[in-house]
Amino acid sequence: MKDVKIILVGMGVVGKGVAELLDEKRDFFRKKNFNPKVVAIAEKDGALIDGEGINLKDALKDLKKAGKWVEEKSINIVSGVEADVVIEVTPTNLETGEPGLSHIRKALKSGKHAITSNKGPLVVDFWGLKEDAEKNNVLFRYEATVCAAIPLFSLHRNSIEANRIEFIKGILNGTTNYILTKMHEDGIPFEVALEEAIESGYAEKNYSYDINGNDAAAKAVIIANAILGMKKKYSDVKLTGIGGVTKNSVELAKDSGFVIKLIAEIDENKLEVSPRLVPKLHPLNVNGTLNAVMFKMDMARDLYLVGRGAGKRETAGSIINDLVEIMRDESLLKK
Amino acid sequence: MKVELELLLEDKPGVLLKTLTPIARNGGNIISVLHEREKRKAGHVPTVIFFEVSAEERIEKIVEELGKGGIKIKLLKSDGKTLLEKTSFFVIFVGHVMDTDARDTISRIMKKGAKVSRFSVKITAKEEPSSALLLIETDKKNKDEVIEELRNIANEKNLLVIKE
Repeated sequence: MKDVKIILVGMGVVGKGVAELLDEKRDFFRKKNFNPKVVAIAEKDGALIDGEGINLKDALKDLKKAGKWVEEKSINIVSGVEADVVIEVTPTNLETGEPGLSHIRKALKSGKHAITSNKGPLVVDFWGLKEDAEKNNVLFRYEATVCAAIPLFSLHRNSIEANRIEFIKGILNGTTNYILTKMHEDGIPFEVALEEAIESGYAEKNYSYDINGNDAAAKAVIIANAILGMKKKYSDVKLTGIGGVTKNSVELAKDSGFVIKLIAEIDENKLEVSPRLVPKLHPLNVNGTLNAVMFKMDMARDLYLVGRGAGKRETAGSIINDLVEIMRDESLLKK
Repeated sequence: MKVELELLLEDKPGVLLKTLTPIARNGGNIISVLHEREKRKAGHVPTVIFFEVSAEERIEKIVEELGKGGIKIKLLKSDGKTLLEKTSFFVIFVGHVMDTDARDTISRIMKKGAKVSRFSVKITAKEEPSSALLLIETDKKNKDEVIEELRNIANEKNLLVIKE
């Protein structure tokens, strides 16, 4: 059994999800002949460190009492603690990318593989991070950053890379899709649908990031860079949110066989997120919080992926799969 | 020259004859007619007519006469070269669509060579934003220009534009 030492940076919803799944999936890892060991969990105000592997159940109960707690900056934990992989799951900041950007840079430069669900670092400096990974001969994986459980990047890497991609478009945000679905199905105004989304836990109290399309725009930038090889910044996105979509407009669309969806469209000449008319029978017309992505390619032609784009287990699950991909190649792990 | 003419014909008696007559009158030798009734959509049948004519001027004459007869051409090819390709798409404007001069909105779209073949409005209360759904027909090569104009109109009149 090969030990795989992990540093987990961030113990919010996703971090806890990762800890839970690492514990829950022990049999699976055993069958693969790997033993993932979390050797450090770093938070804002310090870190839990145990070279023999932290007891994750204890850490989930009370982080500071689960072992040796040190008041050390997370960035120093990333560089100073010996490990194979750093899992970076701190909150997203689309302007600076921090603190995630520094964590990931430091991880890659100190010869550790990095996995993240944090959009900020990729939106701010995707190409810099890619270069850091290549220079240091380590892997950088970020499947969870876009549409959580839908495997876009690994699909592209492993199964469709030889295609020329004409465009990628889709629904990249579940909150707005829930609101637009409610408006369409129940004939209610935007404000009422938003209220319902907040009550059902599908929208954050601070919902503007979703409603204004910022979240979808960030994901579109990551797709543009990571899949289409473009050099795009957040400010390149032509962005319109769903705040202006009215009950009237939804009804007019419905009468003519359309639904209104917040669609991201990415191709050579276009990087746009805006409400669009989608024919009712089109595969991108998915309901509720679902996400859907369409690839238009020269060989495979049209490919559609539908799945869950958010949630603790879905996002953490995507991180776990990135981890499995790194573990698969034993030569990438420390002796 | 060999001509391929793709049309959307109204599913009514006599329409096919009305389409074939101008072709024959201008010396067109009809090779085949594909009348795909099983693909009938919104009362219109996709139809493709292949014919031969001796000169390009005759094609122009045929197109002109078909237009006068209210026949909608979707695609026109001569010896494999596309001479004309039409496209249509829906768009919704949200905002004070009527108060910002709907007539001006339509005429600006038409100035770009497009046709607004449907215009439906929904109004709840005067002070609340209304919505208008437009079906726009245009030459395919002009589509980007028409869309750009829709964006300009939306910006100037503070409307939200929802495209297909």
